[in-house]
Amino acid sequence: MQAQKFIEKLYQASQAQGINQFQIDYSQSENLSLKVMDGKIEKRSFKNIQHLSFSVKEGQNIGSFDCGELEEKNIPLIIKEAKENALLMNNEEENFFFGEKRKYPAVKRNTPIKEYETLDKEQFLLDLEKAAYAQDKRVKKVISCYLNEGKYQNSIRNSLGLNVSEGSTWAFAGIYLSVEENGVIKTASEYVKFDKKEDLNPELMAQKTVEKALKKLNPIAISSGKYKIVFENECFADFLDIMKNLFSATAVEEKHSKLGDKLKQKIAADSITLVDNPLLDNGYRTRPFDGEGYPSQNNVIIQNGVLQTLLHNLRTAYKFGVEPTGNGIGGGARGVSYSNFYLENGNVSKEEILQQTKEGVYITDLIGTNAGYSTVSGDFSFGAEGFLIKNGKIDKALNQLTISGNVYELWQDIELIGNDLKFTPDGCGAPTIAVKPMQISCN
Amino acid sequence: MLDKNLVAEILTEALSSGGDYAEIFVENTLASNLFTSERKIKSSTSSLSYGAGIRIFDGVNFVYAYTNLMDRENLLKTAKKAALGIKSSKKDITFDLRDLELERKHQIQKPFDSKTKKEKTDLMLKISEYALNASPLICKADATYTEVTRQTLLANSLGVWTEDSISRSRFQFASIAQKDNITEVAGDNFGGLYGLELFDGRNLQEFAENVAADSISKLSAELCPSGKMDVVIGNGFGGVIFHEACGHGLEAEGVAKDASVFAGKLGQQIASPLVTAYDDATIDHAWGSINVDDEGVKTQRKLLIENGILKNYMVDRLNGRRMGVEPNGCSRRQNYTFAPTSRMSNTFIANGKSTHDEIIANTEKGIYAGKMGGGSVKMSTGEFNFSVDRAYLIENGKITKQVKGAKLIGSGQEVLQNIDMIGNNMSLGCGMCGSISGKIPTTVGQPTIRVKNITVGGQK
Repeated sequence: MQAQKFIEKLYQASQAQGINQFQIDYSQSENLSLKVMDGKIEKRSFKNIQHLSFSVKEGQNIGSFDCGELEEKNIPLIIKEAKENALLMNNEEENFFFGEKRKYPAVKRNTPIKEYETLDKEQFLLDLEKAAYAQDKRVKKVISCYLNEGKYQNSIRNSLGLNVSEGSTWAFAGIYLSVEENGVIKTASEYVKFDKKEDLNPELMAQKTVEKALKKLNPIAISSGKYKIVFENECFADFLDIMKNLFSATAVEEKHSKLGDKLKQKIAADSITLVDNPLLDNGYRTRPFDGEGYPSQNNVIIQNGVLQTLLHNLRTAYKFGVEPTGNGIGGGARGVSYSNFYLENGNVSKEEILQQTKEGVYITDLIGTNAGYSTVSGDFSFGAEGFLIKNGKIDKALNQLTISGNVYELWQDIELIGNDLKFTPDGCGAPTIAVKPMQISCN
Repeated sequence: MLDKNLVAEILTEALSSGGDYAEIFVENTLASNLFTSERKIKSSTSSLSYGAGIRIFDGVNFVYAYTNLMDRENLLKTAKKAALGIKSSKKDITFDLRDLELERKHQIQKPFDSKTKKEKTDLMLKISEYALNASPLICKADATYTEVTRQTLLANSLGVWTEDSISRSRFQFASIAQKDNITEVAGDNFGGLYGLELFDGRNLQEFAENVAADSISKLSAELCPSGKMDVVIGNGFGGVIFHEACGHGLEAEGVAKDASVFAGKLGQQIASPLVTAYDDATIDHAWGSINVDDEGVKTQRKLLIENGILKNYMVDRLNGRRMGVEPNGCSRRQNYTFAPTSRMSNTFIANGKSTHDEIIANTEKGIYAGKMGGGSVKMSTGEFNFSVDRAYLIENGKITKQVKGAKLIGSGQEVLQNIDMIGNNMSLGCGMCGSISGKIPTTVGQPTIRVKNITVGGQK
């Protein structure tokens, strides 16, 4: 059934059943992805799907049902399940739909460049793979060489009068390869979002990736102990992604963050400014409103080391007695969503940071971060890849590492902040940073 | 779920541009999730997912197109669009769709709708109460219950038509203990291809109290030392190391592309002679079991390693073509939005001869990893890292202090060779495994094992 027609029918059926407050979230997305292997297009994939979430407010609670099949026969099931879910919960917490008439900010979002439209995407990938193998004899295997493009459109409509929609398009490509020397295999990857003309350079991309992998060859061991640490910018951005939940009001209420009673207190080194900014020009996660339809705003979470706010949805904002921050997920979900979440630039270069650090370990990758972090205690122990820092410069690659510590201490222990802010596709960003000695083990 | 004639039309359309094999996978999944915490029903969610994926092969290259606009017109349009991705000369392929004979195991006894959601949350709150009452140090108990019914249809141009329905349920439980300024969490879970009989015959009070006791004992754990040590890994979920450090490397997805360290090693000694291991999707009601895989091949019990010698890989249809071998019933996907590939089901190291106590008693100095946490591995290098959820020091053949923050790193190849004792207490543990065809339920397992000389990353 056609989506708009279905939404109309569901809307009418909800009104006819006398449901006082309800909301329909709808999204539609299309996507193309290509993968090259051994000089051929190995995989082409097309997607065209739609998704609907129906939510009902009964008493204080919002219950919802997600439905991927928009057929009229499902309308009774959708309404029954959403109502049942709402009536079951006994949180004794007020939940909300957003219905205020507000002005929404204009946002500047990345749209793949004009040249991209005329790009022969399959040829680009074939060139990229070929260029990678041509870089160096030690390239063992281009494990993955891919391109993804897509668009999505989503809308929120509710019985309080909210009716908003937004959409976006995106395109990116990536490569993941291994190199081998003396029986030791190392890997590296690169990705690029198509937004500038120079991004479309397969030669340069292949060169960067192979160089990165080759540097990891012939690693040495160091003894376990405490070392001064410098995190590569992208690597610390990944780390932020792991620990961003610290700043969520839901994590605080569920005891997965200890920052609930630290507002206006110093929780980080003086020079730290941390933001969640959905209005950032051309950010990966730039958006005009959050999942609940609340208008986006730039939230400064830590300023000069002092905790300014937690991130809230409509429910937690009411519960904590503050204004919402535009970090709702919507569709009845309890948690918060993040936008462009990043540590702002400091004023030293990466080279100066290495020079000032003199001796230590330069961490480029965290591995296995799906485990080894206790959100309850803040203790972490991750696998890692990195290099020795010797005489203020990056020296030899190191064997497999583990790095451990505690995230609350880590925020206090940041000593230097670089000026080379970089984002990952997860929307997290960080410059290079230096941290006081941390525990390292080496295989 | 779809009419046979329409399916035949879709497959014919998919083959119109020269593909040599086409299949359609249709999935209808009803799922429900309940979460209780702090003596309240915090969340109740449910969903219906329905969609189809069409896959076409041209030799070892393929197209995958998926949609959930399930009317005839759009399904044929999707097949046509997918066919546009194949540029070959049209083959003369005829097929007659016939039901695959299948033993439908794992039937559930108590349907999910035989109890109301309220009755289910009442039980969850009761189990939580056991933990909360166990000690004043327990400040929180979280319970999550998930039930899923997944109906599938797979039809392909080899004439296979197979419909199946699998129901699975899982209960996950966590307890948080707090003392002074220290907070620790511990958790456990059980699940399988069960209806509401999942909870029958279990001592739920003992289960909850054990989790509570685990979180309390962690409060006084000391920081784990770092360095190379002998590590004894407990049974059950301890098998996650084998799953990550070896199992993934035996999936044809990596082997066929020479992206696995175990590629080209069939018949070779890849592990200590003590190690025999299986992937068995046929175990009754096990969390990772299925009757038929997601490309229409019956599942089986596969011997992976026998006395240390590599015997078999897990092979899906596409990678089987690359390797020149038949698929062996292990092709899986999270849902219709993923093309399937070779994946694990219930993967475990078989029993050895030692007892758990003998293994500990024979270890002079090391770590006992009583309960493993999660981890990951790089398939191309075999390098893994794992966190240990509950770890103890072994000193002079005895388990002494509990320690926390232990991480194990190394390479799968080395660990397999360095297993020098295997216990006789094999058990299985549930998990969710993420890879390129999405997140799927899998079981890991092993008896207690000892590995010589692993690098332990601790906090001191």
